[in-house]
Amino acid sequence: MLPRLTVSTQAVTNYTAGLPENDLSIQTTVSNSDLSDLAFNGVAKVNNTHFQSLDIFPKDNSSEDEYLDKFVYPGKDLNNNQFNDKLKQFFILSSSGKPIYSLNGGDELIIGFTGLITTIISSFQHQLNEDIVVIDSGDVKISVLNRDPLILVSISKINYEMSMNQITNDYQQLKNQLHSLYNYLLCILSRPTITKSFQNRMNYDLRKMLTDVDFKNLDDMAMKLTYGLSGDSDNDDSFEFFLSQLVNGFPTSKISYTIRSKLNSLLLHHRIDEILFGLLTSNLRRIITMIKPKVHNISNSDIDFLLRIIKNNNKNIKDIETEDLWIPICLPEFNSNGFVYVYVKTFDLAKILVIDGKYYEDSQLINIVLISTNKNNFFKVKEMANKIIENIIQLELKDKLYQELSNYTINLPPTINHFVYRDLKHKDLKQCLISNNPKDCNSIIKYVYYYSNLYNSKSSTIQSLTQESGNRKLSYIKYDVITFSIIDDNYEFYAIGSGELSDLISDGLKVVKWIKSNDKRFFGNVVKFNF
Amino acid sequence: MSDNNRFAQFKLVLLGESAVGKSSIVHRFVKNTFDNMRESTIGAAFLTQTITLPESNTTIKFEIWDTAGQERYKSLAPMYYRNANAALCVYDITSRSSFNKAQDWIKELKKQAPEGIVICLVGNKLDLENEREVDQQEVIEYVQELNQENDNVILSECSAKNGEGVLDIFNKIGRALPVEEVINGANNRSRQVGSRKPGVNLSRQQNQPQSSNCC
Repeated sequence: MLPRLTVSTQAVTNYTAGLPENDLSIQTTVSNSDLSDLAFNGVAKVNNTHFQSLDIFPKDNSSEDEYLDKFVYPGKDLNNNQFNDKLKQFFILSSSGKPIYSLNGGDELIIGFTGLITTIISSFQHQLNEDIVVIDSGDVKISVLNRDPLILVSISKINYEMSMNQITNDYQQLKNQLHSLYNYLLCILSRPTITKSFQNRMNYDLRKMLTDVDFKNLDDMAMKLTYGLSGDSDNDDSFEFFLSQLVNGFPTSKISYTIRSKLNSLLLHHRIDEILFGLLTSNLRRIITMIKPKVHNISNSDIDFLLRIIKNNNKNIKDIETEDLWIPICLPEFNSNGFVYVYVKTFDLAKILVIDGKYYEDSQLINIVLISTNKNNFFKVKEMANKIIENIIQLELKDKLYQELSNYTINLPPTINHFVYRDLKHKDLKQCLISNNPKDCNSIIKYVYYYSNLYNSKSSTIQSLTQESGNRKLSYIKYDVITFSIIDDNYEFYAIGSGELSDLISDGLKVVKWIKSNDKRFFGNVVKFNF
Repeated sequence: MSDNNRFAQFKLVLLGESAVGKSSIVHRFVKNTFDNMRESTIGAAFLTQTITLPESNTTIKFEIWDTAGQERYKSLAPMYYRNANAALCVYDITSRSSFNKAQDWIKELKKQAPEGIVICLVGNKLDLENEREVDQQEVIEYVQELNQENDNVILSECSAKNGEGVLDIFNKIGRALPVEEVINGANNRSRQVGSRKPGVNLSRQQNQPQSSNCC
């Protein structure tokens, strides 16, 4: 079937009217006690527009696969023209201009760029005593992050990365991408290691300290942060990563309050002194529960990198349950000067559940991630993890836990195709709830485009008509679909849908209300202790 | 404890250049699997496996540290070999440099590791015989020379990919380990090599900053 080619008109409008007059009149039939009762059962309208017909990238008459290969997917062995076709470039180089990493192309190709970049940067520094941040030439944006002895650069020709965030007046997305790549290097090397390497020799080759996995991880991150696509065509959680980075919230899981509190108290009960942070995660992707000291915080980005690095390590290993990992890692936003030691044990919930003498077929991996300040106490930490697993095996509710983790589906009202809800109420960990993710390239790219524009657009404040609910901000952008956001002091809600705007908003508010009424299942998963 | 049920536990560490197949050897030994798409290890992984030596009716449990071969983790290696009873220094028979690196590890172990550590020099990737760069005769001569100085380095070749020779390595090590001492020691409730002692002692390393050895 041919995609329906509609020319979309982009109308950025501040929405000021049409909000349902009385918030209280919104009727939800959602039961507060059982998630499976959620009454939205409609099938979301399929939106047929292809990303190539939208105003995202340059027009080209090739098929989707050809298009992606030509403009989007990274290539290392390219000629000059192929290199220039790519819509996005990332470089990491040393202050003296030595290439360390490039998303596309080999050394010979990029050496010209790196020379040029270092020249521009140093002339700015010498003459104006300032760091250059963005070079804007209309259709192309060059962003620079100078972190002596490293320089990170991106060059973008992508429509949705061209506009400034109208709230922060900044090229937030481009900036964040470079910060992320830099933080990855800090994660695996730490700041002192990087600095020391260049202390004796300005032209030290940092690549000596990086592995193939690191370059793969950098490619993967660059692709996910730009397009929401994975570097290796496994798009399972790539869009989720993009979105959680955009709204700065870690994806949460949906678990009943009773089970969550049980697991929380298990972690807390068995905690040994050197454990700073402890997490139970589902497939290294969503946090089930977390313990943290009252006086210390771990940032979203640190958790993200930590789990991502472990996940990439575990990839392609059979029976990961037989291994205990002990990984030195730097949490750059926690302390970029040192390493913590991370213990990781994975177990399969399906293998400890026996129903009528049979095991569950689909595995459900749970990971115990314990962050220790002491590299010598692996065996003590291992013992702690074993006790936690023993206790989980004894849990009466483990069957329910399995069901909840494996049925992560969020039903949507018929008007809404996708949403992300970012919680602002719980301060210990910034989390978000994302509805089921698109997996095909076309939808992913479109959603990345929609959400980027929506996130960067300015919203207007609406006076609440009811006293108790406070002021809300609302904005929307119309394409052949409608994207809209509703923001108040407790949450940010971004969604893509189709239909009448007023219906969309009313349905959006229903979803918000449903999430709020299940607040404890989604967000109450951090416990603090005295360290 | 009857003599029919003799049990001893030992710590074993794998060392060697990146990509020589340390993890693959361990996985073949522990899980009897081979992961073709395997990425390099970060930090270290801890696994256990037991073997039985029929002639002495002994069960030996290996506690294995599979360490990352990458240069940036090198400063952590002492943490794993300091308490080890045995070490596998692994090289790739198709890579000259990896054999040199394995020799460096043997030198380091002789200086730093506990006395009496059983060292096994393992050449992996025997399935790539036609790409061999490290001559077996040369390795034999190297080991003979080492053993003249009253050392006891075991020599082995294997293919983690097809499994050839892997179990043999661990049997050889099992036979070279001081099993009797440990069993007798355990009976005397004294602390001997291989008796269970939680934690890796690292007192000498404690205050050293994370450094990158790049020379």
